[in-house]
Amino acid sequence: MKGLLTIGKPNLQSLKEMALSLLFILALCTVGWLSFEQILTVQASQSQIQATNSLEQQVVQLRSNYLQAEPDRLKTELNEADILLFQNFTHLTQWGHDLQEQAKRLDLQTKFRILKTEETGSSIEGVILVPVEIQVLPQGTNSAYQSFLKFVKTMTQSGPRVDIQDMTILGNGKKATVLKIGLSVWMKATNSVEL
Amino acid sequence: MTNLTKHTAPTSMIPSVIQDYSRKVRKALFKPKLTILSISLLNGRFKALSIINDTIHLSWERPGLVVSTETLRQAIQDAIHHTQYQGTYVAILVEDTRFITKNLQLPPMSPSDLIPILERKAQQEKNWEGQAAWCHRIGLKTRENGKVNIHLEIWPQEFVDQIVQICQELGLHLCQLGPISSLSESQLSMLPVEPGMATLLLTILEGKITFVCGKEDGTPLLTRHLFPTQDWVPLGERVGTEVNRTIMYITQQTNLSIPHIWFLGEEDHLTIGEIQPHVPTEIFPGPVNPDWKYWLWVGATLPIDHPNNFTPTHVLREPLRIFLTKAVAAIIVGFLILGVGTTSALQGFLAQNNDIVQAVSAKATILQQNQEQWQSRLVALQTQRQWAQAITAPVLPPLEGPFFSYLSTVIPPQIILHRAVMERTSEGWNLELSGRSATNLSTTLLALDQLVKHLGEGPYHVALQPDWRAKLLTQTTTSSGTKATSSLIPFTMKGTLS
Repeated sequence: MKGLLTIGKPNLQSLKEMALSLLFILALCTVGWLSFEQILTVQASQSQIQATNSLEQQVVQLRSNYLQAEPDRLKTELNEADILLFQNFTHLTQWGHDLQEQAKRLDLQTKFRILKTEETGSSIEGVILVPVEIQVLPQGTNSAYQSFLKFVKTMTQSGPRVDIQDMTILGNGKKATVLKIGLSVWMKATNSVEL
Repeated sequence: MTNLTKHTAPTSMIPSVIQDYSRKVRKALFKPKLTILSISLLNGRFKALSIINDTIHLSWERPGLVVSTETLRQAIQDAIHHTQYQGTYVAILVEDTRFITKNLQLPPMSPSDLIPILERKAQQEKNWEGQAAWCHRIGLKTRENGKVNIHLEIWPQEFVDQIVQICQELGLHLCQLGPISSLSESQLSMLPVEPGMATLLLTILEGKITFVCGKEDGTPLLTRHLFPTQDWVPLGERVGTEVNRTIMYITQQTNLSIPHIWFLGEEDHLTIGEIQPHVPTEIFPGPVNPDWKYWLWVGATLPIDHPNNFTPTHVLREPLRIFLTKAVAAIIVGFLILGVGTTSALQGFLAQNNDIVQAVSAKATILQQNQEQWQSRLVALQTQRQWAQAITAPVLPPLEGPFFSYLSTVIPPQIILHRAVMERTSEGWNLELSGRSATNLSTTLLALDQLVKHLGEGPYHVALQPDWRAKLLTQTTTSSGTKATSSLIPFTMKGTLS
């Protein structure tokens, strides 16, 4: 009964102490929270400054790496690569005509045939491989074996990159009559992205 | 009532050695200077003495009797005024006709068993309405039956509560509220007692005669009171008789002898000369000549853990609680000031460096853009370079022309070559030669062997399949069997260049 009475009528002094304690705790929490927040802000600022310094070093390093990579030489390299590629089928056809002209000077007749016009992808982005077959026939009666070899030399040194896949020379027992060359030429893809 | 029980019970449980040691340590460490208002209320006569910094300041005696609570409150207020007391501590010693003092003999038992018995005894002995407050002190253990003497003080609880309330209302910290007999008991420690002996102190205070028997260390063994009610017997003779009885009792119950009796009292009531003829043991006057100021001083110096202190525990702890509260409040305020100061300092620091932080932020943004830009440039550069290198990378040289040129120089004149094929593979070249020979078989074989040797040795190291000979012989046998007139021997060779 005494305990119930105590619960029913709390001591005024205890209430004051509790209220005071709550106020103090509240004030402490407020100050603590503000201090904590300020400390976090300072730490964040310091972290930002450190991150900025680190970022600056990274940028300097990137710039150094870029300059060490000799960007000025890239244009030359790209031009050298570009020379080795056929720009399109027109270019390829023009190259075939040039070969025919050179073959005539060697007293040879050439038949130039693109075996497959659709694009065949290669392992290199933006480059397709076009199969081409060239058939060379002698115009005179003499043996054209040496002329065939000169023609092959002329063709491989004509500029664009041509990979000879197979080469066949036929003869009739007296002279070489036919030269067949299977080629794979490198051409820019028509829808390739300009690098 | 229960408060007092709680107060007194632990005190009796703590060994006295530890208490003494604790008291000595406290005195040695802190040495507090006594500032207290000591009050005695002896059967309504109110006296007060203010002690400030261990020095008696002023005393005051209230004329008339204090008979009610309101009068007591006013008396204490007047005492504060007249003694110019500005402290907070107060000690009150009371003697009242309503108070009961009992000496009990009980078997030894634990405090948990003893307290209910004493509580019941106190409630039985009280002769007033309401609850009883009581304090007890365990004294001498009798030798004849093994029981212990228990000194029991019984007061009205209402009186204790009123004193506590008055002190609270007046802003005073009550630290001592006990019976007058506590003064007599406290004087034992100042008496010279030979080792192994006991002593008997006879005090007369405001007409109350008290016999206190104690050991050499001042520990009370037995306390008795004598009230002058039998007027037909001379007081000296009656006191002497009680002294003799007390000495006999102590001697009987203990092995201690009492060689001296000390008298500490008011000469106008009773003198040593009146008692000595009735007592064989020599009676000495006390080392001090006490007056009421002396007793008030003694009352002010009684320890707060005195067994007869009726002050409730929570009242005794009030100063400590207030001190702790103030200390905690001071710590919290200090922390608040520190926290606010720290926060303000941080805020000021942040405000001062706000421009720097903003500049750093802007710089970080620009740097991020630069980083992305340079990364993009580097990646593009590397990609384009890889692309160009992939196109310009050296591949297998165009070997077909030079080989056919070499072939024309090494082919024997007997051999007519009809077909020469070179086909590129991933490992190298496949070679196929076919033709006819216009000579006989042996010459053909020799010529072909020569060709094979040249091809194998030359700069091209052609590895021809060895089955060309078997095929040639098979074809030759078949041809000669079917068409003997044929003179051309066909051959086919296959090989590889790597």
